[in-house]
Amino acid sequence: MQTIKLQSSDNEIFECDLAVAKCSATIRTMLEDLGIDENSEDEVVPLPNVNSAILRKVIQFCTYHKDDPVPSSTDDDENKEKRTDDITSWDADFLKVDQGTLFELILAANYLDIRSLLDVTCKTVANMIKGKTPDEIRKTFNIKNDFTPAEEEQVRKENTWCEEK
Amino acid sequence: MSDINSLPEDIIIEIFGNLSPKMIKTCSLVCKSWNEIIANSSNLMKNFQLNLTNSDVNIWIAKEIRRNHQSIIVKDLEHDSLDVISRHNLKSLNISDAEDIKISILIKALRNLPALSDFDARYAQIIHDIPIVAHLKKIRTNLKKLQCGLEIIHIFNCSSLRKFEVVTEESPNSNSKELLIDFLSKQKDLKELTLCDEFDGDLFDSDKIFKFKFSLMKLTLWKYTPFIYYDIFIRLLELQKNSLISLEVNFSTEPKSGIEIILKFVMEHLVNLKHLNFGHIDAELENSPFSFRDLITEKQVANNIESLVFYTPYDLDEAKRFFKMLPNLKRLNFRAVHSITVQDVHLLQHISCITKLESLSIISLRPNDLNYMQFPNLKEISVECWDKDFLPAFITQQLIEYWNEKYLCSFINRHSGTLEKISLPDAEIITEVVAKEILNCINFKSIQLFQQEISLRPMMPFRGISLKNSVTFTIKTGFEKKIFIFPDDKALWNEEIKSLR
Repeated sequence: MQTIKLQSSDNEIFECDLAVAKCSATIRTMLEDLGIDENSEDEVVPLPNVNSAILRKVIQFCTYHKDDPVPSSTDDDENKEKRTDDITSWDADFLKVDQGTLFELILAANYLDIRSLLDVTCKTVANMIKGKTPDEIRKTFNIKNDFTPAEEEQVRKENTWCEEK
Repeated sequence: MSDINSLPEDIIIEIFGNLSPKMIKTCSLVCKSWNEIIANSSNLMKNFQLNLTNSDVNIWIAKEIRRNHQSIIVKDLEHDSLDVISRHNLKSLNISDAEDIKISILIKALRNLPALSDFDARYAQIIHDIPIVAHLKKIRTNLKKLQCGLEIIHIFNCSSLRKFEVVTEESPNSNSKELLIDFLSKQKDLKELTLCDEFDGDLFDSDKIFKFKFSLMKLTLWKYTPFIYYDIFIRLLELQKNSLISLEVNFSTEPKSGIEIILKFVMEHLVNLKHLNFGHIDAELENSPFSFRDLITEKQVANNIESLVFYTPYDLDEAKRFFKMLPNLKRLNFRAVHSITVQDVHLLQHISCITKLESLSIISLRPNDLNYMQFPNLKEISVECWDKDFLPAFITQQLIEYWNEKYLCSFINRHSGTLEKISLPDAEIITEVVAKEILNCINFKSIQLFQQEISLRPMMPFRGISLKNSVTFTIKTGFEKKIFIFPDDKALWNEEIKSLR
């Protein structure tokens, strides 16, 4: 089986299946467009935006999902009702991590352009928001309320003008 | 360690994209940066439309320029606010029910809205401050959807409509009827036409309807006075007989003979009809129920009807035979308000044989009916509650008595594999046992309850619920409704339930 070497921001080298690495559209582009030779033994793909702890998790995710069917383009349908209760139990377990790791995974998924990982991590964050009051949301994410009471009132008022379609 | 606000804006938007519009509003109250992100994202804001009264307009202008809304409703419109709107790249404008709109201002505003594709001016009070003369330069537009009174259609130079609704309150003169036919003759792409005639007479009373070049998929008619020229309406149907998929006709005073002629024509000619909505809201017919007998002929071609709404009082025996002719029926809404009698039970037993039925909406149910009913594909059951003052007392009493817990539970239990939506009239029906049975439905998505006033009390049996799927709870009076979506509004729900104790 063909493998490829990936180098994290803290210079750790990971050797993984080429098929796994190609879950990342960014790596795919690097290989296809930037002329990195897939067959070269010594070639290492540098990933300066991902540290070793996160890269290890990303490879774990992609290894598990490498044979998943590619989502069809109808998934981009904007009018389709979004679901967040369809996270598989493997993914849910995989994402039982602290908030910092979760956000770094999102950033890595975004940088490496791994749609399935970005979707499931964003859904996980959305689920942390659902059903909460503004104050509970602030507590969950350690956000400071920087509204003055008058500003908050104004937003409330503007919200009453907006009707859900 | 990174925190949530270290994520780039487009990722925050992606996260919010998984939330309901209501929850997005909650998020806008968390902190300034979230509020900004939401307000500036046309992708998130497209879930909302602005609904303003005039007093808010000035405060809103500055924000609006940033938010770039694509859709606005304006009530109590004054000419100043129309001026403001005209600076925007609006796609949708709704001024229905607005008062004292000067036609000069309206024309000016519409000239400045080149991107407008959807304009609703139904029942707007238009003041003709300038005479609409023949040589007036018409407004060139690419409107796709227009809803307005007959008196303003002649200000448009437009041939791009896909949906058109014309409301006629006062008797139009023959000149404006001609103008309407000319206007419609230009619409080659028109797919949906709604005619709302509230005057004495017919909108189409000449053979010139032969000039129409469109092929309608949907035709809706509201008729408040009897047809004088129903042969013209039948000719209109004949012109559209191959393209019509959906037909809705609502009469209030049309005599029985007229209805029968139209309905017979529909069944014998509209070969592609899938949705038929036939209503008559006049109590007069109660004494001589509408008969299906003449409808059931060998010539019937409309056999693929999937959705049927029937408000007209009916004759039961023939109704049974009528349903046998419609093997593909999936949605049935049978609400003959004035004719609810003991006979209904026979009908209900009979419709149990419509195996493809997915949605049933009905006004009266008795315990025995529930025992008989079993639809392998039923996803939606709706028992409507009419204004209690409007219903005879004995029926209101029946509704409450007959929806007893045992029958209701066994009905829900039998359909627990398919049932998704439940809509019930009287809130007293929901006991803890019923609530538990409802929550056992595998695909349960939504429950709607009707009651006199908006209160969460009838939902009390559901308190402490734990749900895997997202479920919508709706409480509705005649005019208002309150919606809770789980798990989005869990906090709000708990607060309200607490206040009830």
